[in-house]
Amino acid sequence: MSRQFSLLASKRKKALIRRALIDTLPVLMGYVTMGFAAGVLMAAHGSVPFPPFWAGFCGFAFVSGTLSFAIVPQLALGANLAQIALLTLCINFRYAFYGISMVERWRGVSLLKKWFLIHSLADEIYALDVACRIKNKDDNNFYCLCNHVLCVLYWVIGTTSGGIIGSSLPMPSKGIEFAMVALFVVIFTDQMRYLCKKS
Amino acid sequence: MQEKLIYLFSVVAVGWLVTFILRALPFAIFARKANNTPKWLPKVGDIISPIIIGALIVYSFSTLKIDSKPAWNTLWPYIATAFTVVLHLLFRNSLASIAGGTALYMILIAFCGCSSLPTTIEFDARKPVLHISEVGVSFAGRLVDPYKVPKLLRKYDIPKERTIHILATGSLRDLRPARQLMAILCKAGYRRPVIVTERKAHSHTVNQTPNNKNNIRRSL
Repeated sequence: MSRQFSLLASKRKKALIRRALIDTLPVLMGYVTMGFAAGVLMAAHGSVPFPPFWAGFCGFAFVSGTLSFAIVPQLALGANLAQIALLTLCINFRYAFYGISMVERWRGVSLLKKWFLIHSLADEIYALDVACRIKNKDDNNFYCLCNHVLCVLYWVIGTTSGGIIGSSLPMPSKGIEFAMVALFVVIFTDQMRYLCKKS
Repeated sequence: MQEKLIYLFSVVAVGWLVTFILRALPFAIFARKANNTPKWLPKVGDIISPIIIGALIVYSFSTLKIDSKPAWNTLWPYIATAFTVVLHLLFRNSLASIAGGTALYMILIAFCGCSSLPTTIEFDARKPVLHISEVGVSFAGRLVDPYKVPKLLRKYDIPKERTIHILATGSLRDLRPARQLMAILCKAGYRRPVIVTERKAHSHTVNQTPNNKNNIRRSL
């Protein structure tokens, strides 16, 4: 009986993974190119300053496109750690509000998984989590976890390849810093549309 | 090299720590009380996040390096922003909007007479143009390849006999990269590079002529 049940569970998990793979496809496109742009931007700021793996490492640590972009000019100026902390606080303050709608949902998830979920609670991933409406709580949390793992993977792949290829290829990078502005504008447009729809 | 790596890693550590604390904040606050999250909180979140993003847009506009010489140059970011919004409203694809807006901006500044380097630099001994820190060499606030520094100096018509001050920041104890830059400059014919720290100048050639004006503006 229990064996049958576990079989059923594994089947359901496979279905959830497949669903997560399909749902994250737009994020795959966005993250790989955006990560690539972030990596190229880091590589474009001087020839020596950043070791090639650094962009990927940075991407994994932050899981935040905005910060990955914004931190590059600060590093170039040699900003001190207090300045970096303040910048991070200002840029990522919105994340403090993302968790609010997830507190009830993720209650009861084991600590390590929860830490990873919190660590990777970025804009697009949050949007995916909010959009899914699976009734079963365990299924929902497993689906969220799949989303997060996949998206972080895309992000790391994008930034690493951008950092490595960007530092070895001479690319027209003049003006690429506008990608950050464009990212903010896109998020802002999305939020305004969401607010308009709601009211 | 090692100091640079330590600096980079500590920056990542600080960035991660602050981000994680922010993300974990609601989970820490509402950890115990089940179903006790106040109803107004998500609404506040809905309103406050576009405000923050709006502020970020303004901030990131200020970081764009644009010459205001031909006045229309300052228009490009607005045009590219409008284009991004239109693209996003039409196709609702973040990737396409970001790529399209950025491409338009890059095209505009590449073909409409904008350069990311300033047209004039202030060549002043008190505020050296060349700055060397843990992350590398910067010229007028932009990180550059040390081997390209002589080319840049030539671009701004800086005479080879002028004393060129290189500011090395305080925590930089290892002067090897600075010496390397001096060697590059000497090889290119700039005979008087001087390393300046915040306290005193280490100089091998301290024979600045008295008629040298302290503050000359050179234009491209």
